[in-house]
Amino acid sequence: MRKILSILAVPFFMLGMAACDKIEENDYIKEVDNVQSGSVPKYILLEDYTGVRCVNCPQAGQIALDLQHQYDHKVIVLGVHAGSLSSVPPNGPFQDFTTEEGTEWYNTFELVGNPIGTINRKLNGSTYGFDSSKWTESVINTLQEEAVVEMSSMVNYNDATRSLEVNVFSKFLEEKIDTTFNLTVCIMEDSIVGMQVTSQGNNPNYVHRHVFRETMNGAWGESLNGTVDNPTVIAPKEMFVKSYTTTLNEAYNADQCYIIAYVSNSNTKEILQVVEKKIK
Amino acid sequence: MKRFLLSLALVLCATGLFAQIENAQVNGSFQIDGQYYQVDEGIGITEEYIISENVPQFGINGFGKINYSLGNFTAGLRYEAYLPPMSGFDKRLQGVGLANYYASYDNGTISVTLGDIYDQFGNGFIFRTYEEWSLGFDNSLRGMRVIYRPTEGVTLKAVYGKQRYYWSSYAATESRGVVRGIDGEWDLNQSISAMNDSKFRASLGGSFVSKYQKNSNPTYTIPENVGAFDGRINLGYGRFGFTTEYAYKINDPSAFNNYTYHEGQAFLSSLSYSQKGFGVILQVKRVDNMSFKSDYQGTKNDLDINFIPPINYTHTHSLPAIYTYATQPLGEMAMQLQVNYTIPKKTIIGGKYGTKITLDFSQVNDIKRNYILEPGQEAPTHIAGYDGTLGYTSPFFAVGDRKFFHDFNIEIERRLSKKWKLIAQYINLYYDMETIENHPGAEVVKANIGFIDLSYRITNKQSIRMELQHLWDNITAGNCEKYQEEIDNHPDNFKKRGNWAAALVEYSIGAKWFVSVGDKWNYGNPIAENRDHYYSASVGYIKESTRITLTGGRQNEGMVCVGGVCRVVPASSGVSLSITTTF
Repeated sequence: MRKILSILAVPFFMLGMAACDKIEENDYIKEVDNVQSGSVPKYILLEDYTGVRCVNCPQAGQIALDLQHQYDHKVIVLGVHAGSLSSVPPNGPFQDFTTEEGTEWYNTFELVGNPIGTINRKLNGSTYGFDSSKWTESVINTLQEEAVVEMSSMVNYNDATRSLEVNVFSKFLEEKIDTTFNLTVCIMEDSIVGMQVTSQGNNPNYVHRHVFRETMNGAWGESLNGTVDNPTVIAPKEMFVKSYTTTLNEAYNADQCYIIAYVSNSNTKEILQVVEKKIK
Repeated sequence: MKRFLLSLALVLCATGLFAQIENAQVNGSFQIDGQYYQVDEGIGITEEYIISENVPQFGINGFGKINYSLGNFTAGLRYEAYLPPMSGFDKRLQGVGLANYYASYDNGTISVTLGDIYDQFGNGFIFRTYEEWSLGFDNSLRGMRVIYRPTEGVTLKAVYGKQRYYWSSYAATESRGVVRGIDGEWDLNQSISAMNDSKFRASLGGSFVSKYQKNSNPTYTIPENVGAFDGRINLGYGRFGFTTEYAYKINDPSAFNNYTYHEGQAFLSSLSYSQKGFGVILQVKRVDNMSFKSDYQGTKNDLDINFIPPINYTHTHSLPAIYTYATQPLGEMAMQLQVNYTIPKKTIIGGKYGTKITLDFSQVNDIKRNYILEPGQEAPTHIAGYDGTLGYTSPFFAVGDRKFFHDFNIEIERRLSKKWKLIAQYINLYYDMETIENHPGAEVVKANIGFIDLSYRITNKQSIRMELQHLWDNITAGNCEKYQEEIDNHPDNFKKRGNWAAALVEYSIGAKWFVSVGDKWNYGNPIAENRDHYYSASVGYIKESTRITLTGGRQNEGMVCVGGVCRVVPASSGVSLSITTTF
């Protein structure tokens, strides 16, 4: 009997001693390290795929907002209303923020449910979608990467005619040979007040942040260097300048509209750099 | 000469090999489930819905499993294909490949397995790896297992590895953690010769499991080693049985428990008595913060290391299954009492063939939680408390005020004559939809359900079976005016509410063919356009160990639950084919 008990007890004791980390109450929360930035700062795009009928989305939106504040706006947030919880019953109290481009992105990235996000459209294992619980970690890891594209933009907006002209400058910092890179320009409207399902019930005065409205050059943008079958080589320091014009939709509040432009790898879809500019 | 010796050696080896192969055994199984999805505006499946939900036109899930054994050696593999996965399965399953493989040697004293391991310690409170096809669930552990049996009745086990996460690689760079565990089981009746034939039966067991995962969270100090202990006793005397198991887990902040540092505990105790024609079992369970995953960022059912067994009646008929209880790993106090009695045959009440009666009551409440709050702070919205804190304290024996579920049911099974057999059941159900389905604000379901299941044997080779079911909901068309505002604002919470009626007829020819037609009608749904019929027809063919089933029709939105683990099944319409075979 004693032999059996000792046989049973020894490995338990050994493993038990080695494999438990008890955290003291004062150490639950640790101090956050600041992200280091190189000579060209890296901005990242957090696409928050959300829905007006998604009860867990407001918390996810808050995580996105916190990340934006925490990292000094190096995290650019785009609230894309797509997925079943973004659809709106007819004649109901909800506004419809869904877009063709958003639905196309949601389906192409094979996202599941809401809330879900992409971080610079980087792959998370075999999928592009990250649960909101993983945004912080992914954002931090992505911010550690060196920027390979430098971007800036100029925006001219005429209040009387609502004409909008956007110039985007994209400078590659290293040579690119085999792949095409696309520039996509989006219009985002911030702080739209409207109905949202929350954990406390329906909130008619909910402030919808960073709402994606439309793109100015298609869901996947425009190639900067030839076609997929025949990409042209991009030399280090090569600069691409692209201009787009449109008339701003009457439904948008120009005072709250922003341009978000990004350069992405047309093959992997990964976003290399992103820039945001208020139109007024 | 050398060439001759080489040839001789080859011949001898080959002869030996063939002799061995003759003793080898191969077995396995294949299954293919496919469904063609179509637009059916009658149940809300529009073109827009199909696009927004990314529903495939054709979904197919398939696997093939082969096991080979030769003497003390066994090996096996399992190939899976999701091209793409059927609607309702996690889209991360999409792909094809060798999902699992293993090789094992067991000489009776020692057993070593390399590859993918499925195993369980006790009830699974701190370790259970398993695969459940209908859920698309597989948390197998890729690594190594050693089983050592030093003496009769004593089994020691050790496992080590990394869990399957869809098709993700097992490389060290993958962030999910490593799981290691040991388990000991001692069967006193086998170990002690004086107890070999004793009426008194006893066995003891204990386990320890730890996961290691690097902390990359920028905000919280996540323990990189999280350990969990488990102890269990099984006792029996004659017709009485008593089992009890307790598990404890150290602080394990995770996305699932809102990064709170409360310890975890689980307790299950069961007392039973059985004799011919009569059985009774009483079970009690307490679960407190026992979600245990190998990734602290995991949510849903991903990367569960452990398993919390449900102690509720498992309903197999379609209407009671609409409201199946899903286990709540963050906390529950549960009990179940089941009594089975067979009224003897050839008595006035029991009838010519006897009558089986099953009475079952189960209830689940939340645990009592005393939240840890700063002065002036309001109660947290997350059930586990405020993140970055201990969360709450909970007295072990206190029952929380919030009831999650109850199920009282009585079932009677009686053969009426040589040809007729009847099963009838009444169920009273309480179902906290807000908690169980995570629909904030959803009204509790208080339903009464009744069904009769009648079988008639036409000839020795032909039989017919009929089901009639009805569900009475407390919120249904005609009495839901006071909920109108909520119905308008939260139509999702009322998708399956209201009264239901269902009927099914199944005709079987021998053991080879069956045909069935059925309809479920949500005629009392509070939303008029949801008062839909879900009709379907099936034809099946069974030959030896192969079964082919073709089904066409509509599927209502619901949940598939196995062992308290659930997956949402979206509404669909179309034709499905299922082929299974074992060899």
